[in-house]
Amino acid sequence: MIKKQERRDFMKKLARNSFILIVILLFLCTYSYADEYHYVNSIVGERAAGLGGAYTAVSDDPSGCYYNPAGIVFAPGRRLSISVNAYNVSTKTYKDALHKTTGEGEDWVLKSSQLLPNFFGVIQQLGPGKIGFSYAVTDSYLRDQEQVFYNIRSRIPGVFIERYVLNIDDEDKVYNLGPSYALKLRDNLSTGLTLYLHYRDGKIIRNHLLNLSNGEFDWENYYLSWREYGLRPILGFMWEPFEKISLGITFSRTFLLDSKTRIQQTVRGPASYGYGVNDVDFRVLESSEKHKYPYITTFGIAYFPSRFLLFSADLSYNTRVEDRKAVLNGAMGIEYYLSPSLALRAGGFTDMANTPRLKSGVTNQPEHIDIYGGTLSITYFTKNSSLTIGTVYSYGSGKAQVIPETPAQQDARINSLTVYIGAGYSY
Amino acid sequence: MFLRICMILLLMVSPVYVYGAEVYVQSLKAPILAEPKMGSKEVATARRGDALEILEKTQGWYRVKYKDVAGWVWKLLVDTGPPKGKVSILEETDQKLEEGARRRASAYVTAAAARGLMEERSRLNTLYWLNFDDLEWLEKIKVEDERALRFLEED
Amino acid sequence: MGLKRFILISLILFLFANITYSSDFRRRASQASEEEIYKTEDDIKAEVIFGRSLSARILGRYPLYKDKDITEYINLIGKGLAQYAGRPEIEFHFGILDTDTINAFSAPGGYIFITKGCLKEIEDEAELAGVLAHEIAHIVERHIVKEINLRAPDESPLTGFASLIAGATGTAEAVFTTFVDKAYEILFERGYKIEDEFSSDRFSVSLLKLSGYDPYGLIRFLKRLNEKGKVKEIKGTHPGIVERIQGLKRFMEENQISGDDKKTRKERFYEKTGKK
Repeated sequence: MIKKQERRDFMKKLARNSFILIVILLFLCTYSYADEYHYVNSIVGERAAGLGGAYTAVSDDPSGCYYNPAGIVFAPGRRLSISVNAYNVSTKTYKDALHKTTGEGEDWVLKSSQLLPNFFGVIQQLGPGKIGFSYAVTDSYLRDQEQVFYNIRSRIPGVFIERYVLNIDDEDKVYNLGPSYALKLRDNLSTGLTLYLHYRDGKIIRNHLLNLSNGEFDWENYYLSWREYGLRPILGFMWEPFEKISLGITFSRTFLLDSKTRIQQTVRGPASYGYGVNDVDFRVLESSEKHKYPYITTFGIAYFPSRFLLFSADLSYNTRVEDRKAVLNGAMGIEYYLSPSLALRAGGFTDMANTPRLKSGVTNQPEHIDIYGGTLSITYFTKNSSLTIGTVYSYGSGKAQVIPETPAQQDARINSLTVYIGAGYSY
Repeated sequence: MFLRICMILLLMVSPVYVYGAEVYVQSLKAPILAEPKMGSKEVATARRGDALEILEKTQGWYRVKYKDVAGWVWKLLVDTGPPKGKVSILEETDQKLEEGARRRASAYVTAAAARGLMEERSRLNTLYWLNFDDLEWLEKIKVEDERALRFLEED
Repeated sequence: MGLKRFILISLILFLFANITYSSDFRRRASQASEEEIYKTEDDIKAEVIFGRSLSARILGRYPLYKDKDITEYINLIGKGLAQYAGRPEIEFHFGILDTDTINAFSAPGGYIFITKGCLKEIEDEAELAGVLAHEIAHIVERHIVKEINLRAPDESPLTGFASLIAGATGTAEAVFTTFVDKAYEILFERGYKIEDEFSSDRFSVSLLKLSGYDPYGLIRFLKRLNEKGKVKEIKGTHPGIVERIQGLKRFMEENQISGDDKKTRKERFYEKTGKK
């Protein structure tokens, strides 16, 4: 049973041993599971995604199961189902992460792309309230890349890196799946509860080979995998204090029931670091330590001036947890019907880093990148159905410390583009 | 200025008043009554197809304006949109209704199937009997609306 | 200054007092309102097709009493009454079921049935009109259509595509037969919602008055059934007969509706039904 701190120390030692001489791009993700640095990750839902995710006070369709279960009781009709399929491409660029022997900087770029269904939900009348069932992929990335760098400076005097091969195969997915039920307490006040099963599955595979100019080489293979199960209840309330105004509030948190992490590392270091021809270091670490998730409160307000127009705004607050700061994010959306069968939606949102800003002269700091995004979608309606095409674009900039042991910082940029198709059906 | 804003806000949230909406009389006659009560005095009689302007709404009744007269009309006698003609589910004309029960049955079935609303007759027939024969006998009995009205007025 | 404050306070009070608005403000331009649904031509066609299937099922249980003259007679009365109701697009049909139980049924789309047993207990034309008017009310107020949410299928190719992506299950046939089962259940087992029954009773009185019949028709019939102790013979699909009689009494008092003995057309009724 390895404690988190112990694992960190082990990683640092490993880093020091083999990699003081070279850049370690390898361990960038040691401290981070997936995008543990941000909370907004994926905006799910056919209509919510167009509104920038500002949906807490709207939530009157199956995506309400995810945003604010209290809202589903205000959904029209008896049975509704929606589903969204999304294609996402994103890049994270660390500027001048490496330095060539000529003195130029070389960027390190991580690319992720994937196509996946990111939401499915269905709601139906049951007794006095409405019951729902939904599935959401709240965070997901898939990186599959091979990179080769030439003539990179090293920290060993007189020696440079002729060739650096870095192959990456990373993925992480967080699934929420479960039922919801909502009830009207009064004509204009409702409450709802979603009980999600939380399942997270990911891995980081890195293969790294350095050929040094002195003829030596360093080869490492690193395999980190994790899997966790938990429960994520979401409690919501919706209140319509005046005509055309809706207020919503939710409370949720992911509680882990089981977690398994496994790290397997193989190292064949350079000869000058004591590795003989047949010396290979092999270590396996396992841990069942459960990661802590923050408590999340969201608050939303929506204004429905007419059947053609809707404004919505949300604030979400994630509490401080372990070594992550508390984060406040905001989102806003507008929905405008060009005609009874065509609607346009636009929104904006923030996705702030839960890490502190980097300080100069300090080492081992996690990256801090604040992200801002915009959304746009268009929906076509028929009597019983709707079809949506939309896009989410976000951009972030900040700083990172690609080599944790040195105080050097690099500019980091994130670009992410998602295109999705969503459909809703009432029957 | 503040007053104007207040007025606008008030109008935006006020639910009771429906400005300028119109409804049309669906029934043959729609009495316009002095009060929203079935037995109250009749101040006017609107006819099928007449347009009435809604002034107020309460449970089951509309207060309307009909040819310079204001009064109450029973909600169930009016509807948005002018009265429609009889809706037939057969593409053919009524003359074909005389030509054999079996043929008409299949016409209904075809019409239904064409609309994606197929009655699963074969499946249902094993559980309980669907008596379309008697239904078709009944549908053959033609009584014109005008004749019925006259019958009601006889004494 | 005092005026502004007054206005502000009354505005706030007004806003808070206005909790009687409808949650309808959430409805988007793509969604039909309560008043608009079930009313497109396709919806009405769907209603009629459905009503025929339900009628065929009723007739499977109780076949028709095939007396052309009496059937024509009740159709004359029924269709005359229907003119004064609010659904001119519906072609009504009135039939007599060959059974001694005392009951009347209506299926969406305008199909109304009254049992031979029920006819035997009726003493004049106003009473018959009252019973028929009650059934017409169920159709005008779309009680079954609303209860089972009967709408025409949405056949645009986009809907098919959307339903594929959105994962809606169930073929049209399965859905249709489920609806018929549900409606049958309402008619023969569960019964209409109690409020729907009272509403149809009130409609009956109003319709009788509008069409020139004695408005006491229905209540007189119900009272007689109650006194004769024939209540048990009515299948348990209605609220208690005593409650109905009381409800009707109250309605007629509140609305100042009085009886009119001249408009019962008793002689014609006896002549047409062969009663002595």
